Amino acid sequence: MAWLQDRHYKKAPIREAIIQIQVQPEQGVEVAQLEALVANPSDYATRRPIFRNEVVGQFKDGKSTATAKQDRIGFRLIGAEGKHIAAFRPDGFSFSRLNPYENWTSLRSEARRIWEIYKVAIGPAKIVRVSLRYINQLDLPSNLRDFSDYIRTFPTISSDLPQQLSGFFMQVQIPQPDLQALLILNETLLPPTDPKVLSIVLDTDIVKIEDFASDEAAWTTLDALRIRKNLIFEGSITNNTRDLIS
Amino acid sequence: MPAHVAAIHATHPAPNLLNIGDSEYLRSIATETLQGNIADWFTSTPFLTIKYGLIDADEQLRRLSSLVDNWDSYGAPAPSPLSISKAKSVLQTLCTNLIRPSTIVASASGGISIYFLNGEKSAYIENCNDGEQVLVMYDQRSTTDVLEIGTDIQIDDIARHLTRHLD
Repeated sequence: MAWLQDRHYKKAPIREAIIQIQVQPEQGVEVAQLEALVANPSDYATRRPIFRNEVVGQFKDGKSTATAKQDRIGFRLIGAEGKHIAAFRPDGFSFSRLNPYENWTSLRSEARRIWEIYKVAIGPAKIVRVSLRYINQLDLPSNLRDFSDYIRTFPTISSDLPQQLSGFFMQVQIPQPDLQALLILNETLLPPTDPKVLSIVLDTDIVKIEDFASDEAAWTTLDALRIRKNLIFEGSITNNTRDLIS
Repeated sequence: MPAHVAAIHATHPAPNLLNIGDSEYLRSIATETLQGNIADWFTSTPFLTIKYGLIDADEQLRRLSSLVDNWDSYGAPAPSPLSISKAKSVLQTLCTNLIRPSTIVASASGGISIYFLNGEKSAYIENCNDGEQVLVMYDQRSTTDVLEIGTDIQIDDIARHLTRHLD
């Protein structure tokens, strides 16, 4: 199956590729400290805060109340005219490449360059989780006869129910025992923007949880996850889809 | 059949559920429960944030575009097609900068208002029926800043001004 591992498509459906690394720093670092320690790398002119929003609703004694809280949990550096987005948080780092995706070599090399900046700021830290996530948007013909003509994993509906869908969201978690990793596969139908097109998000996230002995071990694992990602993508589509994206 | 409705046929065998009780590896990955909830998934990455931000905004603008004159029973004019298209282009610019509005409403004076709220700080973009666009930023302590878009600032600068004000 080597031919599947490195197959390139002219109209690759990748909308975002994300490398995520979670860490346990030896000494706790606050968001403000991290912000102060990191200077924007060249080609990353924009910095934006990352907030976590929390809304708590309560209904008590016949009255409803709601409180909203917003915490600053990190920041993003945006470069390459919005195509590269690095997120720095006290507990981890992520690097996204948005459409158009180039290739693994350039994604890995840029992510590694920004990771080195993060690593210096965060100080001694153990890598405890890595993941490689690819979000694809498959634009299928809206008059398709059957999803199985294009994708090979999708929700099944009892034959006793009407066989029509106006939307779905599906998540399956599939262990990858040989890599001691987990595939989290999300699939959903996007609301229509073009009557001739049925767009499906195929989101594959492969996660490995481990106390990595070194940075190098974590990046080597990411290389292995990338090969698995290709096999998973190829295993998720049919030749009809290959024709659409070739 | 509407474009977004497709027929699918169930031909799959059922998948097997793995028992996680007797393997260290499977126990460790079992902590990876469903990846957040669905609402989190929609905003879990820049692509999804932009995509769903635009889908939500489009849907809201579509609803507002169907308002008629006197929609508030106080004589408010309906949003004009020009104000809708101006609002859409602002929202597209903001979404690509990973900024999502708090709410999008019709303005009582005609047009579309896009609000951004962060604690005591607020801002809104008024897209008037005649095509004029204004960015208004205020908080509970200082004076209000009013910038005319296209004159005082360009559309590409809105994200920078908003972020600086709301941070």
